[in-house]
Amino acid sequence: MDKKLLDILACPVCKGELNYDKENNELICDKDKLAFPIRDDIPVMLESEARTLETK
Amino acid sequence: MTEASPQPFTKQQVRDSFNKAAETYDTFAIVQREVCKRLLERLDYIKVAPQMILDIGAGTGQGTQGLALQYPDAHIISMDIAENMLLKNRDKIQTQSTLAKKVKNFFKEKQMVQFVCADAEQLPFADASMDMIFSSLTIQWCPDLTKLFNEFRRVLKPGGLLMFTTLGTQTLHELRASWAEVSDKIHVNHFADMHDIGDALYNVQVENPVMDNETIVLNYQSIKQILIELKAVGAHNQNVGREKALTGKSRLQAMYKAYEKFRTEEGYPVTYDVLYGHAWNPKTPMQKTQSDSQQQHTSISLAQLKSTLGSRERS
Repeated sequence: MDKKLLDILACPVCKGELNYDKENNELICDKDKLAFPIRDDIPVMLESEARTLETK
Repeated sequence: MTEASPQPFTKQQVRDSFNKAAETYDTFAIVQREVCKRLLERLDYIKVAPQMILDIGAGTGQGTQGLALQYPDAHIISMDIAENMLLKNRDKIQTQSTLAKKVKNFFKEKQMVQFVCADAEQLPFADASMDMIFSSLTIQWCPDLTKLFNEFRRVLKPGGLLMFTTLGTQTLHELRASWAEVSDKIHVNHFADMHDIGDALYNVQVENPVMDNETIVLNYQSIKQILIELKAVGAHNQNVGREKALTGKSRLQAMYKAYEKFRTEEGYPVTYDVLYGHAWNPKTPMQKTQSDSQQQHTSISLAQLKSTLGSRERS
C-alpha cells in the first residue's frame, strides 16, 4: 500500500483516517468498523463493498 | 416538459452498468471523448500548478491521461465507481507509449497516477487534500447536486479548482419524446437544468462559478444503433421507474415510428446538451454550519452568478 495514497485516503462514511491491514489487504475504519477491500491494487472505497467488522 | 423522477436510479445500477460497459466504452464514447477533450482544452486558459488532482468518473482514462500530460509534476488520483473501467484505464496508461515516455520514471518511483474505486457523493479522501477536481460527464449520475458540491468543497484545498462537464435537460430529447408518445414509463434519464446546477454551486458558496452550454448533435442512420450505442457506453436508462419486462417489440416499433419525425437528410439526430462549469474553492476555510440558509457568507451575489451563466450553441 502506497504511503502517499494512504495519507490522503479517508473513510467515505466518517471521513476519518484508515489503517492498512496488510494481512487481509484491507483498509480499516476503526470508527465505523468497516474493512474496505483492495482488489487488483485498487482500493474499493464503497460502503456497499466493505466488510463489517465484529464489535468486540 | 417535467418528468416524475423521484428517486431516479441507484448507484449500484450505475456501477453495474459501467462495469459491463468497460469493454465497449471506448469504441462508442464519441461525445464523451469530444467533451472531455474540450474540458481539457479549457485548462490551457487557466493558470494553475496543481500538485494533487482528483479525476472523478475517470472511466477509461482520457481525462487522467490529458491531465498527466498537462501537469507532469502532479500526483493524479483516477477515480471511478466501476472498477472495470479503472482496470482498462490503468492498462491503457501503462501501455500508452507517448505518455509512458514522458512520465515513465514517475510511475514506478512516485506513483504519479493512482486508481481508487469510489462514489462521487461519498469521497474517500481527507479534507482539503486536492488542488483540483476534474470531472467530465459524470455528475449527471448524482441526483443530489448540493450534497455533491459540498463533498467537492470538503476535499478541495482552499483556493482549489473545480472543473466539470455534465449533461443538461435537452440531452436525448428526441428519444425521450419518442418514448413518451408510446409509454408512460421513464425510458430516458432525467438531466439537470443548467440553472439548477448554478443554484447548487451558489448554495455551497464556491467562488466565481461560471457555467455555459453547448449543443452537440450526432446523426445516426438507424434508431436501433442509437439504442445499441447508449448501452455500449453504459448510459442507457437507469431509472427505477423503467419497465421491468422487456420492452415489447410492438412498442419499440411504435417508438421508432415516433422518432421518424425528427429525421433529417443527415439521419436520426441525437442531441447532447453539454454543460461546462468551473468554480474555485474559497481561500477561507469552509464553515461547518453550511446548511443554515440564514448564514451570511456571500462573496458573490445571485445576480452576479446569473450574469455569468452564458449560453452558446454549436452543432
